[in-house]
Amino acid sequence: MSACVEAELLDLAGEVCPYTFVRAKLRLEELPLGARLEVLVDHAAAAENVPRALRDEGQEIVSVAREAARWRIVVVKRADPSLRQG
Amino acid sequence: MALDLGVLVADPAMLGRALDLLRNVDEAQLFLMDEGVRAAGDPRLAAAIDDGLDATLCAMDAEARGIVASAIGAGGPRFGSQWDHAVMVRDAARVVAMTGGRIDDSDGATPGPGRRVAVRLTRDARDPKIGQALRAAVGYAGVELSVIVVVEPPARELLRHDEHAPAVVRAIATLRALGHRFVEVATSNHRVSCDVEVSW
Repeated sequence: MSACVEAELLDLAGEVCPYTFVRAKLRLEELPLGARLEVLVDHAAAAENVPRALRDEGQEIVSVAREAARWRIVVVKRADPSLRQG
Repeated sequence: MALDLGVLVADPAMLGRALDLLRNVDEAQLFLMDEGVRAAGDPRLAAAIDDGLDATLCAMDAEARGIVASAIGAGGPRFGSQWDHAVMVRDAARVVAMTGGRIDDSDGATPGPGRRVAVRLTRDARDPKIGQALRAAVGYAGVELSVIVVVEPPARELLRHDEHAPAVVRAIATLRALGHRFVEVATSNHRVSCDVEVSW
């Protein structure tokens, strides 16, 4: 069995605010606690605001790394909030 | 520290009035979006920031209007996102919205997730501010606020068909998918039960 934890990937390149942080949160909702998600964004504001939004709801931001014209945000799910009403 | 006052400005002509409200409030925030970002370089705003005001603008709206941080200078508002706006509406004890139409002043409701925010649409469904209102509403939904989109008669075409700008169609679909409510009202005097109201 591999010691590596596979990460889900969410590519948000080309996506606009507020869908960047909303889609990242919704994707995390589908994952179990402890799951690792890598989020790709291509806008500097999103590289700041998506981690802030995820941290605000209790998620763990492992890293934010610039890769040429985009940023890779690595997050581990630590909380289980829901954006859905009712 | 708790946020006492949050002010949304989407009309640059409202900046002076907003700064009057924000003056002498210990914990206050200003968020500029839509046409309000044109006030970003106003020297009165720079002076208020210099005095300690926490001011942020929507980077996407600024970019769309050719407003860049380097042109505003170091003393200007921070370039943020609809997340900053939504968190301000979620956490401020008092929320004042100046979008270019009526001014909403919501005070007294307990801040935090679950707060009910009515986004009131007062304009023609094709008005660009309707798209901005719905974009902001999606942001509110993204910080666990409970959104009620109140559709006044001028905007009622919004709910009659799907032939709207793609961004509008997407926002409506997103809000519906997340379980938020759309309420059509017959007159502008018809109030809905909510904690914060933001009219566009």
